Amino acid sequence: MPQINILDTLFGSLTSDGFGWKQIVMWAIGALLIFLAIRFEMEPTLLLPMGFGAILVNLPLANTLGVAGEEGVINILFNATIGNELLPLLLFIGIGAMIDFEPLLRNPKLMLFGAAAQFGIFFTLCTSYLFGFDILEAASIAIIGAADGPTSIYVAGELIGDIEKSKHIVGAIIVAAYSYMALVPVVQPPIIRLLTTKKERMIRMDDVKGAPVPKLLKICFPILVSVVAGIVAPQSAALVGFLMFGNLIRECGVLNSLSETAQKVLANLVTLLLGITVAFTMKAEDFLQPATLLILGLGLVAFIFDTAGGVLFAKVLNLFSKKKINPMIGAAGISAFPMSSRVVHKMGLKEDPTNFLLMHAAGANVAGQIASVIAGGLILGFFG
Amino acid sequence: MIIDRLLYVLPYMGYGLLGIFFVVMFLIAFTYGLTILFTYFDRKFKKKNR
Repeated sequence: MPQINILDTLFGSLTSDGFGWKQIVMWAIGALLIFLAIRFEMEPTLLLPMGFGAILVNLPLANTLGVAGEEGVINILFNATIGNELLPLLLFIGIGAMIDFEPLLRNPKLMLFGAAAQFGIFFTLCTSYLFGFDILEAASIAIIGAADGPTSIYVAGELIGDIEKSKHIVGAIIVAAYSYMALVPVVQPPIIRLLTTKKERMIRMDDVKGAPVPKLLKICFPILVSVVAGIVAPQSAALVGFLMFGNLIRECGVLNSLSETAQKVLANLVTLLLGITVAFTMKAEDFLQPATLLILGLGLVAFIFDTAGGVLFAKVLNLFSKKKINPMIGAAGISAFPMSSRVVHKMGLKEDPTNFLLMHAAGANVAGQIASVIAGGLILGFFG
Repeated sequence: MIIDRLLYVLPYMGYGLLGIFFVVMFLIAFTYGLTILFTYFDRKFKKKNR
């Protein structure tokens, strides 16, 4: 009869070198992400798979990350889809197909707020560098301020994905990016209230009336954005191009089934894989570093200064224009679509129940989507 | 040391913000231009078809 040590067979992994307090802490972090996703509906499409994946990759001796020199399923998925930046780009097709640029095309000046609300990216670049990170790490942390998950994954992966001493911070960057995107309704209002007076928050914005946006403009706009951004910041061509490709499929009017597929099936499929694959970066020895807390703090700084940049830019514009702009519109220039525009709209209604800021805020919000991708491309252009 | 780091990284902040505003101004100008052009052609086409 073969001799089997039952206890060793069942619980041997818990006594191995690969198991310690760090793994238990990562299980707790994974459980926390799952709890936040389900209980508070914080970006559940990403936080739940990431939380579950964090538990999976921190099971001692588990084959999810491979054993005895063989690659595990999560390694394979990561190398094939995120390691080569494929998944974020595919997700961008779906996101582009979901975006309606009409509020922006009715009032193109709103693009200025999209640009101003990327201030946090560059402020955090400086701050991270001053905190001692090297320039590539600082740039990767700064892109959390893009308030866009795929952009953060793409840029961080390109800059530090292959650098042994730096790639361990990618997990913290991704967790920070998605967590703060979900926390926009918590982060933005206090900053907006701090930087504006009640009178400014009550400034009424006219309804944007006039002739409907020509259909040809809606078709040419994504092509225009791709060409201009690709020429000025060639490193952004893939990011901007895939986003605008998705939008072109939506607006051309002859690819309705592809547009629907991109918006629903493609976006959901990619998101499904993205969350659990990103967990590859959440191994205990990589994630539980002092730098992780610092990165989470710097991510918050990025979001705060994005909001501040947009609001203060609107206030500066008000100094020179007769027709005042509600400064809260500037805060909607952050790329967290559509959360940020809803936050601004709600705050406007709270001050004046007859002041409808949604169309203007939505215009600034989609402008922020474009500007954040261009910012990502510029960061890659400087440091890639 | 901190001053050296600040002096190294500040220009990137400047170039980055200027770069985004530059691109955005281009896009605003082109968008207004195309809006005027397409609205003109839309009206001309409608007039012709009456």
